[in-house]
Amino acid sequence: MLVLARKVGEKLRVGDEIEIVVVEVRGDVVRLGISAPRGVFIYREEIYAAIQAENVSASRIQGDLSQMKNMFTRERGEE
Amino acid sequence: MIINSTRIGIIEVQEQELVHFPSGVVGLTDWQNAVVVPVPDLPLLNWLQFAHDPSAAFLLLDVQALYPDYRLEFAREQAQLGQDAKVYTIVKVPNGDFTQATTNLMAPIVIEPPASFSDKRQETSDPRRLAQQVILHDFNYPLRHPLFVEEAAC
Repeated sequence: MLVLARKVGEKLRVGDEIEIVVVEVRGDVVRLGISAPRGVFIYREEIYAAIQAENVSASRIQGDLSQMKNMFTRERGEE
Repeated sequence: MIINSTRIGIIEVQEQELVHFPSGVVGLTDWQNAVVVPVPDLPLLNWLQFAHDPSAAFLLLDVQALYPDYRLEFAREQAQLGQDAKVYTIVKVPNGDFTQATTNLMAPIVIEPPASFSDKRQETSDPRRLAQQVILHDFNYPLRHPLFVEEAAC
């Protein structure tokens, strides 16, 4: 992994279109500003990992969906 | 094209019926082409069957129909697929137990409307409907929202 030292206000460039600026350093929290083109998505790593895991487990769905029919009906009937 | 599905069998699909995720879904970058198939007798649900693997599918909820207050406009804005784009959330059924079903309100799937609603279609040669999974950061939407209230709680 490439490791670079930067001061507040200094920037990094990833390729031609992605720019990262160090906005603030306070204690152990670093605030970063990121500019990227449309189509490049930026996620906090832990959120990315959580959604990835949720996608994988949701895609393993099994069972007879007709069971759900009664449940939606029941749910609505109670409202 | 023919899409084989472990859950709904063999589906014959025209190219304009395909839904295309240019960079896949979050964490699954090769999940790029799919078809939306309604679930019989369950108007709120659709299958999203992917083309590359017969077992790659999501169960999608018409989120607006069940949760009218859901922030559809933010999902559409993030996806940039127009104001007529359809917003779905993914349903998870742990261990086949439908009473425990949850839906992912944090990361909905946004799909461009069918061709007749979209001007863009005339400008491009790709007939597929564009789609994207977006993340709604600012609303504290849960990753696992229970779909059904437990019996015991009633």
